[in-house]
Amino acid sequence: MVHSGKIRILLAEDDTVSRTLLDHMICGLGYSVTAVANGAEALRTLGINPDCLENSLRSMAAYEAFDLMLIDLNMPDMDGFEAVALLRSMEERWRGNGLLRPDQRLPVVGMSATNRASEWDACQNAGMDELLEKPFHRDRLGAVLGQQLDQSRSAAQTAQALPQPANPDEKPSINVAWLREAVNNDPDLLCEVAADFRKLTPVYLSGLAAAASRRSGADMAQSAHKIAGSASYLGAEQLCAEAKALERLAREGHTEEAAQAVSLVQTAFDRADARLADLLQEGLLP
Amino acid sequence: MSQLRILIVDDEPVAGKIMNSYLKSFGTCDVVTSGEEAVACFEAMLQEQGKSYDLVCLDINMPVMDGHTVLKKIREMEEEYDIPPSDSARVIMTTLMNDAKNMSDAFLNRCEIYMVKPIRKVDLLQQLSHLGIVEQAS
Repeated sequence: MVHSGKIRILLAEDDTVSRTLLDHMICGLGYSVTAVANGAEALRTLGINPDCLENSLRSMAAYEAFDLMLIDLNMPDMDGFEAVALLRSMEERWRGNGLLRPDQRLPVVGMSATNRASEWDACQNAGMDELLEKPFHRDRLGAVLGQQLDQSRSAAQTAQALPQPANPDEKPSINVAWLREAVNNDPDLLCEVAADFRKLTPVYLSGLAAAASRRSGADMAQSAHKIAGSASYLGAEQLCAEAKALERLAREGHTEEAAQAVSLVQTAFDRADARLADLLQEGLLP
Repeated sequence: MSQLRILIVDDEPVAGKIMNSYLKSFGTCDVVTSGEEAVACFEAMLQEQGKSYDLVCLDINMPVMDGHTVLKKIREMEEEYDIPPSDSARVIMTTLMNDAKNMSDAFLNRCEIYMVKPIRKVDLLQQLSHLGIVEQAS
């Protein structure tokens, strides 16, 4: 946990009576509670702008202040399904920006008065971890919260125990899990896009080098942008980050610095290319 | 649901192919690599079929004609061909750029959704189901 002290639960429940009762129940279990009345408010409390994810907070303090969210499925002004789906999509985005560690994820427990079997699939699709059927006793709530908090803690510990790369800022040359997902485990599509990537990136790179020698910021930005675009889909995260950084320097008029960064993009491509070749040869990809 | 007509616009072929793989089961995808081709396809659809594409996935940063210009032209052509708003193309901007200027420009030009690359299939399908043009995939 990133903060000290009590475990904090975010509670979203539109019904005033239930909210008060749940608040007491959760406090009675030794946790602290922040209670809100709908999904949109819950997201705002986590620093997420429900109307425009792009305009959400860049600071993670609000999100990291909570250890778990308990959310009613049926609420006006954004129900539990939509709120959780938006939360998961925002988390993904934060991970992409490096604001969230890959293992960081807010556990979410849904609550519903209808029977569990009929809604559990939809809950899982939205990204919930557990569903509590209302009404429930304090012991049941305590057991579910305890289990979810334990799971989340041990997932974080496992992730931290994994061997770290020498440079903690270094992103993977190829994120294999991402690549598998992007090509939907389709070997033909993988071969096609991997071939495109390995053939076209060197073309973009030579365009980049030529633009750098002319000190043309606009052309450097354009080439770097293409490199970042295909790298993003290949899961070539380090290459994507280096190319984006160069693009930004070039766009903001730091032509000299951008030109100097070309070698970093080249090195990142060489690593990604070698890793991709290994993966294809080892048959580790579909 | 009926087969969708989908236009995918990206000057970078890897992105175009991945988007095509995400969407091809929902209908027919035309994949083009420039803004000029996108406008030509869109106009041909209006002329020949008398309707808009159901969905356009549109990259922003492209040489010659960028995605903002394409989107403006799409909306102008739809007015010219008297396509009512209910039948207008649903446009998703698909871009690496996540700055406020690009986002507000895109929404001013009446895109429906703005997604930042790399785009995951599950996220795309969720947006399509919000738009009501595909049923939520399980």
